[in-house]
Amino acid sequence: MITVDNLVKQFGTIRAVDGISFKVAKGEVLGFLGPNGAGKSTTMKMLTCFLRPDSGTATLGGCDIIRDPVGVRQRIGYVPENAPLYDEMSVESFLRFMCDMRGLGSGAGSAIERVVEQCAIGNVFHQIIATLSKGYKRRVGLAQAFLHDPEILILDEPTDGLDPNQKMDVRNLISQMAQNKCIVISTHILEEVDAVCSRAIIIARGRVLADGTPAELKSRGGGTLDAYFRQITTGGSAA
Amino acid sequence: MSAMMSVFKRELKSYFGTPLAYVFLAIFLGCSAYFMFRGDFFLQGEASLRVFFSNIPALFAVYAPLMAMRLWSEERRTGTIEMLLTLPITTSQAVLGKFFAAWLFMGISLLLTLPVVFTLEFLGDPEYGPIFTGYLGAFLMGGSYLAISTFFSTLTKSQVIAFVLSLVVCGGLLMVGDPAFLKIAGFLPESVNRLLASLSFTTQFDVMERGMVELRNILFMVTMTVGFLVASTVMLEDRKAA
Repeated sequence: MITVDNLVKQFGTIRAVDGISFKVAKGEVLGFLGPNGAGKSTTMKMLTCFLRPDSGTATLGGCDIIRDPVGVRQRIGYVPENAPLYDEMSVESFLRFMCDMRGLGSGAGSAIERVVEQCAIGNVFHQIIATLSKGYKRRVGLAQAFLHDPEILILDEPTDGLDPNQKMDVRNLISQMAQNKCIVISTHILEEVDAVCSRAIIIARGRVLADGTPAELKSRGGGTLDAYFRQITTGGSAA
Repeated sequence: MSAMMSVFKRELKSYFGTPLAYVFLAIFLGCSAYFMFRGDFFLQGEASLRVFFSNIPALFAVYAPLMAMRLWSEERRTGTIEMLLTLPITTSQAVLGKFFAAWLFMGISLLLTLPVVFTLEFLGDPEYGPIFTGYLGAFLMGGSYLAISTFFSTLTKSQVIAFVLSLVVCGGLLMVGDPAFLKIAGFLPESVNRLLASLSFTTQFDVMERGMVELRNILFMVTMTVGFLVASTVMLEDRKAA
């Protein structure tokens, strides 16, 4: 469903993404791992057609990110880092606005009902977003991405800054959806990979350093993902 | 298209939903009335809006930047730009949606000055031609100012910086046509002077306020508007993440 082909993005003198390629199939939850500044968010921004790559390309759900950005955006649900929302709107009017943007028309009502239940935001439905706790804001951010029931979900650090219970909720939600979708989730929390991902890619300094199932990666690191992660991202000899 | 309408509607609602927009509106209406009365509206001995319209270019040079400063700066500051521009909408549709919302709000502000026209009707026998072309000119000029301010709003996260830059440019385009400025710039060659004057909204608007609709004045304002909106789109495409 997702094919990434040699993406490159340069910011000034810094090569944030340096030739990343990978594929993700339906039913997979791909963990996108790496230290801060590794190029995770930049890659995701290119996949969602927010940033234009300097070279390389990617196809999501059959649409090319350079030739058909609007087509790509129709097919994906995206939660950017920190899940930014329009603070002055109520949850209800925000979700309605997102339905309008997605052209859901008469299906909007049932879509909203569905995501409100999925994300358990029923009791803040009429509140102004600015007054919500971080956990609820994040859930509204996720709800927004599920509205049109996309086949591809791209989630940039969806559990960052949440408390352990909220993290668990978000992970459960992702696991529930995993079977019939293609999900890419970025994180630097390694336990999360074990909890939700069926495959993981480790990147650092803009390059893919490792690609495999969590179990494979662990065995390479001598039993823990932590050890392997440190080994290859700090430029150790193992990789 | 429907995505553009949704952006338009959301933006318009947020004007009516925030107290700040009403404050700006009140300031605009208050100032336009104040300057009109101070400018011999009742003593001029004629039933026309000449005095009222003569203040509009300067008022709009402040009002438009105030209206438009938040359009994109706020999206940048809060990071929602990343959400908005990853929805199925093109950048130009998003720019237009927001611009039209601001322009409509400005149009409503102009309509709210209509009591001035009723006053005229009560006091005398005004000629409606110049009043109509004056309002048309003001609306078009407002659009140009808003497009300029939209452009500066796409450049920065800071509403204040966006406001100041827009004010400088809108104010500058106003000033270069002012007789006082042209006198100071008298040492410049005649042709440069004439070019400066023709680039000014004062000059362009002056013609319309006197009741004449010339294609070139309208073209000037429309070109300004379209030009700055295109520039805004290009700027957003180019430096979304900045």
